[in-house]
Amino acid sequence: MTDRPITRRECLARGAGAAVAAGLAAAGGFLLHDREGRDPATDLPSAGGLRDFFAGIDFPAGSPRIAVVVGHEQRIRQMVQAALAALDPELGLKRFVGRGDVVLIKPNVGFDRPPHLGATTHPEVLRWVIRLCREAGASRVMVTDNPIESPQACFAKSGIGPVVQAEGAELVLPASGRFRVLAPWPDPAGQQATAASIDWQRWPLLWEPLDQATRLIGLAPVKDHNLAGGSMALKNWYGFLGGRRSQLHQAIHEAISDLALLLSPTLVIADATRVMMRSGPTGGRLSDVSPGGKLGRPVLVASVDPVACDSWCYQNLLDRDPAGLPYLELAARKIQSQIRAGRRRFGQSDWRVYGSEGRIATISV
Amino acid sequence: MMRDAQTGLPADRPPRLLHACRNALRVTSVRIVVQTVTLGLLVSFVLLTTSSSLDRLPALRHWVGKLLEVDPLAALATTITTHRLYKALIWSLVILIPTLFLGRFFCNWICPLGTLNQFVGWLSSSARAGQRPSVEGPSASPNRYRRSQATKYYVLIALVAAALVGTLQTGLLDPICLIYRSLTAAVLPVAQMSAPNLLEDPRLHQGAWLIGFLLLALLAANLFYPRFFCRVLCPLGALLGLLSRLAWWRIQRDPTRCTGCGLCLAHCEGACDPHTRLRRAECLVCFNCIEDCPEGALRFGCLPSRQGERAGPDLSRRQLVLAGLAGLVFYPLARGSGRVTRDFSSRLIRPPGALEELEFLRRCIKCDQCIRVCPTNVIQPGWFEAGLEGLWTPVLNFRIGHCQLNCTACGQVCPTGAIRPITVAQKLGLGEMTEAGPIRLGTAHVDPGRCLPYSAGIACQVCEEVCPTSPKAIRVETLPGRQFPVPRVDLSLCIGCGLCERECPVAGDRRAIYVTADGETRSQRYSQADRNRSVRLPAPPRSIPKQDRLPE
Amino acid sequence: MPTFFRRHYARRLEAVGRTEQAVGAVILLALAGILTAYLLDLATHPGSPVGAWEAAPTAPGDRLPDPGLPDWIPCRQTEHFTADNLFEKINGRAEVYLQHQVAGLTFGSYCHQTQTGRTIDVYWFNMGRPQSAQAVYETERPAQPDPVPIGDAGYQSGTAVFFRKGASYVQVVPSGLDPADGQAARRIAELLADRISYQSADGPTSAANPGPRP
Repeated sequence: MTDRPITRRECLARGAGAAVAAGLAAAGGFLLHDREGRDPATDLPSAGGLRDFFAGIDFPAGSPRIAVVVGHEQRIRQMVQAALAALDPELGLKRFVGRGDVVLIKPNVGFDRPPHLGATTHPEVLRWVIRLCREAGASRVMVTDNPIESPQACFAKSGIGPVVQAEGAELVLPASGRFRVLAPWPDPAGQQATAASIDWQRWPLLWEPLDQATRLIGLAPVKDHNLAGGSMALKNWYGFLGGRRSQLHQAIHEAISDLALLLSPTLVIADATRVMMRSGPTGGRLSDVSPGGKLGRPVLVASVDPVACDSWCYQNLLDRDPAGLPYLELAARKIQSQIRAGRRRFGQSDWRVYGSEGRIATISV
Repeated sequence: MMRDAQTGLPADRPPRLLHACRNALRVTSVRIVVQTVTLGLLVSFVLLTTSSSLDRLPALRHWVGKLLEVDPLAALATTITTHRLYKALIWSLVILIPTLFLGRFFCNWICPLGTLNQFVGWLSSSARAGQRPSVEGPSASPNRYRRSQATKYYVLIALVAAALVGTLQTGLLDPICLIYRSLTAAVLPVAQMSAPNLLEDPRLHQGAWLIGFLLLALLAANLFYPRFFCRVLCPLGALLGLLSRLAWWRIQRDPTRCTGCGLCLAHCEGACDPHTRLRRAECLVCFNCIEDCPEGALRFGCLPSRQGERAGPDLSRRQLVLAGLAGLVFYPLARGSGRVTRDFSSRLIRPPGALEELEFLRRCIKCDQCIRVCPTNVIQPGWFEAGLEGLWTPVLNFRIGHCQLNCTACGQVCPTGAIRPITVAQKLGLGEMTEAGPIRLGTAHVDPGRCLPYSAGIACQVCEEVCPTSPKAIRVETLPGRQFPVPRVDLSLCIGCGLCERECPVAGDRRAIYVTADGETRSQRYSQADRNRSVRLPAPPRSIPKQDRLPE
Repeated sequence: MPTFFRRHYARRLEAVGRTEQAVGAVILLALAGILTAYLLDLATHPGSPVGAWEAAPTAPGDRLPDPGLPDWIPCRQTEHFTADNLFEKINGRAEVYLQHQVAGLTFGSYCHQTQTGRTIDVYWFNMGRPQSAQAVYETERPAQPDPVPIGDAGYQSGTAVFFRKGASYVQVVPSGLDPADGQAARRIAELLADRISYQSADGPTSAANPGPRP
């Protein structure tokens, strides 16, 4: 032995080091070992179910389902107030929005168009809805949409962005981090899953504002839609979708009726101040736009029942037969199962028939 | 003991045979046998799993990729990118754990590229036989340690940093992947071209020239710088070198016997300074120094030599940081070009069973095994269809071949699970998999401007005839104004197998019917628009029985 | 290649210690073991039909009958065609059968157990009436057939076997020209002919067809 004597401690230390490293490597290998070759998880995180935004509202049985207000371009404020007052003469919007509520308003900001072309919601209508929500005691008012074109451009050009800022509400832009896929299925009992036509479990929704809100108000312009027939309160929910939503055009009526099933809003207000009678949904020509559609004067329709609202608007404003709008019947049928199960209140079964049973209040302002 | 006056050997030395046996059990002789057998096994794996002998594949499935499966760098890198250790990669522990005790024996005993490098170096040095490097002294020996040997550690750090942020590029320089890829795409076809009747017809590989020249360049570099790749570039060697830090056994030098002649450097493979302070991270455990020392001053023992040794490599901190940064920055720059997401190439068609693109790029080590076993030569080493990250990953080129309907060979040989092993039932949507549907590689599209019946008034229908799905995904229909029936693709039936494109008589690089990556099923589970390339609306949940649905 | 036996070793033979020899021997033995295992695997494992790494699962009864031959197994689900979509399977050839009011086609394949790409295809035409079967049989028969005693009438042309029985007209077509394939085709044709009943020409997978005659 000609090397310098090595201490026993050094020997052990070196051996122990290697043994520990070997043990760690083996342990790590076996812990992380993927024997079956499991598929990697998919991308977006999942969310829980969507809440019923009408829950907890004590809506009197005799109240009208739809309130129609015919007015003037300069009297938007009065129109909004009258519409809500017609739905509930006592409390107006306060019946629906209470103190401390977080309200999410969903206008249509889908296109990079100025407001007078009728492709987007009238900014003044939005302004007064925001103000009334604040008066009713809402703690937060959020406004959101997922437009087809650049969000910044759409919010700016449509006039919605400036109004939101002026009124001090929150503008929620559709950033990718705000989307989630709905899994597990919204309705744990599986009832909604049974009724739906589309597989929504892999579909991203603009989840964050929906999760934070306690009340949802849809503000949809009334438009012609060359694929779906009409774009009104129900089609407005399309703006919550992300992902490859263009694929939904392959089954547009199934998709819209499914959205009617998924989302149970507090209120919808159909903005018929400028109705796009032709070339919808993009439009682009002033000659296609008519205030109040067939009625000739600006109209606002407030409703607790989006299906009924769409049906009424299609017939009386766009001057077409609601029987020819497939998604209406599909939506009504799908919601029926929810109504039978006691999970929804409104979903007109007799949507084709409008008499004067006191369900429609019509006012002129 | 009586000694023979001439030879100095004992007079009663053992007979020649026993002498020969003892020589054969010298550690260097054993090493040469092991190297040769391993290289031979590799060549046999490659030869026996070419497309003409595909029926061998089930028997050889566990052998074919064994060298890839024991590759610690592939295992480590894929574990970093995927947070799991895929199936057979656990075999890498067989190399990794002994390395912790014995040092970089893999490099000189098992690695086939190391064997080839050593062989070329030996050819070159034996051509210069007669020179005694030790005459000039150790400082001029070609096997002296050079600072450039630190480069491989920087390469390793860069690759690991890239893996940490989610892109797997180790396959570019990993020697096992490199040798498999070069054999598949360059060496084997050249051999087949040279022996046209002995071996099967040579196959085509996109960019084979680059793969072949890379191998040639690395081998040729040995003529000037022995074991150039192993010493300077190899990231696997660097990893094993770092792991040798704790090794218990190493080359020991007895300074009392050492005369400083430097003969040990004559055939030192690792350039690890056995004549002074041994650099453990560089030593390739070739044992040549032990054979060459006339004084017997060197042995392989478990205690350090009195003069000490260097446990770890000499690395400059600044270079390390730069290397790490380079690796980290590569990923955002590569992904930033958008070729993997929104600007994806419609020609980026991956083999059946491949995972979605981002997941695929985390796993593909560019070993090109799938390319070799594909019976129709349709899988090709990719170029930049998927951006920088996609170099040499498998891409289908339907002008060269098509995806055979009943074949699932590619998934059987993928060592990292970038292509999953699928059954024929899964691939075609048969039996239990009918509800799930077939695996679509893409969709065929008819180009009416080039299609003969559409644009030239010439009858054809080849695509419809050859479409192998049942029922056929291509129908012909008679359109008003067209003399002959024209083809039409049914998107719900087309699986993107590419036989139509392969057989289309309009043979230019833009065929009259061609397959694009749209509609591929591997991405349809992903909801983000940037990752999902499906065309048709996904089917509604099938787990809900039809009778529970509302009437339509 | 470097030889084991250099002319001159710097290290003397005595310096090769027993430990080194023992370890060397162990390594060589282990290597031999690995090689043996590899060669054994190569030699003993039979190959399998290309692509069908696992047999394609099919519904029971929806496969051709097993011919009991050592090398051939039915390897795909049978396909069924009517007169309307017959064209999809046999393209231009459909004309002849359509002219004779073909009722349907059942198509199946047998694959060779070890050699990829070697198949025997079976086309079983239900011609509706024996007269139609006879008519197409006569149409397709070459001038100098090589008759085989299968069904009501049959011949072998190359390796392929053609026969008719009742209202059925059957073609058994191997992919290759190997005489062994021809013999296998005959065996398969005999088996299928046994399966045909004069009551029903639905095809070999139909329940109406009896099993092999005792």
